[in-house]
Amino acid sequence: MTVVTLYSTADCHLCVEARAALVGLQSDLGFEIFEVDITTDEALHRAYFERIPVVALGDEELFEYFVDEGALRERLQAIL
Amino acid sequence: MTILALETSCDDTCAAVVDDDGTIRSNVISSQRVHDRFGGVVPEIASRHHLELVNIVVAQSLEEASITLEQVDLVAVTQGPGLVGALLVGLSTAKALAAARELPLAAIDHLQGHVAANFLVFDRDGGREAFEPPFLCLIASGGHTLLAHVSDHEGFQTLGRTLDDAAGEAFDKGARMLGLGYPGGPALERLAEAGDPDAFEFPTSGSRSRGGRGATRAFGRSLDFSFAGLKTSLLYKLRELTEVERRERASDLAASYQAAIVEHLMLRAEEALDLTKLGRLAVGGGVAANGELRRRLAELGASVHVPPSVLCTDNAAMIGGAARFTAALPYPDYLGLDAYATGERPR
Repeated sequence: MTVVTLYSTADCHLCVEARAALVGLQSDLGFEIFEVDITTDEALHRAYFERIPVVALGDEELFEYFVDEGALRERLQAIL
Repeated sequence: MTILALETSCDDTCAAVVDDDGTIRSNVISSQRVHDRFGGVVPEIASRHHLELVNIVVAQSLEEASITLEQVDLVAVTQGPGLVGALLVGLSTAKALAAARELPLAAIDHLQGHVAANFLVFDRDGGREAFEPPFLCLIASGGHTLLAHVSDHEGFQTLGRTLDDAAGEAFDKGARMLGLGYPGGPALERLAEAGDPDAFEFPTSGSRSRGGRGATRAFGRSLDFSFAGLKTSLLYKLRELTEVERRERASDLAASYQAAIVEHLMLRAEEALDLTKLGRLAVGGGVAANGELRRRLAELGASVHVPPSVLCTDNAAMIGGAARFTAALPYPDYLGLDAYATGERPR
């Protein structure tokens, strides 16, 4: 199953919005959401610190701060 | 006395060193271009970037002033109004810098800062210039639009303020409707250069009619501003035009829209000058950089003072300028200070 990774942390309201956007698309498109708390890993924290939420597909970062639902839907429909 | 000032009320991370005679020794501004792609400032992102930048900007301001923290006598910081998260970054940093050496701290109102930009001494045309009270001050930016009666260095009386959008916001939103980028003011002004300012009629909500631009008597002798109707009028005009017409007449639309914003600002400023008999007008805020506004101000029969653009837009030198005339809090009385998002500090 296709896995969409959400880099986030607690107390981040943009992360809450991004998660809700992904969950909204999940029922339609049937992908898996893998959420990573960047504070659990120093390298991730350094990489994503002020940019979360970051949404990635494999090694490719798709969005930071906000999820463009239309663009994500198109992207996933093309590979699912 | 040497003042280290910080300003983080919106999306500019600013630090400056100012002397108590109003001389600016450094004025560092780091603008966060990250917001451009979102079409406006995202408060959460602004706060994060202030956190990233504030120590760097403070260090640079000290370096440019050729001083160290040990030579600072007073720390000044914007307390509000503005984006609370953004303000808290500056306020917390200022508290820490001051508390580390048990220095006093001056908490400054952002709008008083814009007024105090006029008290700063800067070089122009071979001379050193400052503007002293009493005067009328028009502040027009992306977040604020007001007319202030400045009778002394310590504060001001608000004569009128916007009831809805700020003038700079009207520029930005108009630019967005015309398909231009953010920030929209400079882009709209460039597009307007080739246009006819009388091509389209926009409501100006002026208190007296000035031929050609459709001013109405909506507000009597009120000195308040309103830009929401103007913005809606542009939206309706765009809807009435075909796509080809919108493209072909974009310059005329931009020129007419800009002329209406400037006309509204000028009408209120002229009315306030009439009422107060001050005969002296200072202008601040990012909209002061607009060429059409500057052209109209030059035609005004009053003594007009427009500081350099770098002192009109958000900057920390103006906060240091205001701190010269503000009672500072001794250590540790300021540690519990909070930021405020809206309104003004009482005098």
